[in-house]
Amino acid sequence: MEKNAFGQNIKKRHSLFTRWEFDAAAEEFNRMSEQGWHVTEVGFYTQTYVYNPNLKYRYQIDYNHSITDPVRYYESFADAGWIPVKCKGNDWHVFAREYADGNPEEAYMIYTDGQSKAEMYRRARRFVGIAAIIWIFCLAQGIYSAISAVAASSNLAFMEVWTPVLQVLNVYLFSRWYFSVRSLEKGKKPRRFHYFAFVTVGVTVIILSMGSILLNSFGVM
Amino acid sequence: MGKQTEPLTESYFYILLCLYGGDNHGYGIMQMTDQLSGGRVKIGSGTMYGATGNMLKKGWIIERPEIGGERRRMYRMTDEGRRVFLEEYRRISALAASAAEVIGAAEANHAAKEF
Repeated sequence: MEKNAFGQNIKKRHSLFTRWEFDAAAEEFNRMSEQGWHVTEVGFYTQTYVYNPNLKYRYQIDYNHSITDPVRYYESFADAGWIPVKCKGNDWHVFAREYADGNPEEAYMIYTDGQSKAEMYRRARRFVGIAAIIWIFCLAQGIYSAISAVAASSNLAFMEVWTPVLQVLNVYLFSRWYFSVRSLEKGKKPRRFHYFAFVTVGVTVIILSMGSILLNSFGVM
Repeated sequence: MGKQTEPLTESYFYILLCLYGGDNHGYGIMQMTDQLSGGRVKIGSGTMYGATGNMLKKGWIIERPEIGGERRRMYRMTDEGRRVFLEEYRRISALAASAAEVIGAAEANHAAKEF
């Protein structure tokens, strides 16, 4: 088993983008913690867990891109026993708090009223919404370039054709996140996103595009 | 006269209530709220940060200057905060008084019918 610098057992797990599904991601961290594995680092793709069967933590995820006073922000959490977990992405904040058996789960919530939770979801939804719109513009431009290249029978047309395909995937991804966050905002459970299928399609498209570039460079295409 | 404000959420109401009696820090407010509401209302850290941030922006509270190397930052209610809180208190009292009047009359009516 892999060990960290302090000789503790660690393991890495890979899951994509779960952070946009706030409650589901926190539940997953809690579930792992119940088994003695506590998340200590949250990346975009990889999460690092440290093993300690004697501890249990509860996790919460916050999204906030408008922290005007970081000292006051972290103090608010530290006072109640929340420890920040190392997390990639400046606007993302994952917190852990040691769990005492028998304590009600409501005691481990960082947002305790509908208004403040709705504000957090609104911040997240705005971010993914703007990203989706930017990708829609990129897609429109990509389609235009592809059509122009094909119409002009350019030698590079095969490259131009792949770009909008990848852009479609990005538009789909950000739109899905947008609607997931909107579902949470309305108090509904978001539809399950099949990340594996999405990544498979994305990787296939990238391989096909790279393959066609290579074939072209050897003069096959 | 100050401008009319929207009804306060329970978290906002309790934060102002906790500061009405004197300066307090965020964690003190969380504990006092739990105690005053008999455990019914809890204020989480995210809610506390957002609420105090909004109140600071609106001028309902200020951060009290540090006295004698305090570890935690203390909040103090302003005159505007006091006005907003008292306005909300009067609104809730009026609601409760109306409800008590109607419930009292309905129960008296019900008791008379049963008799």
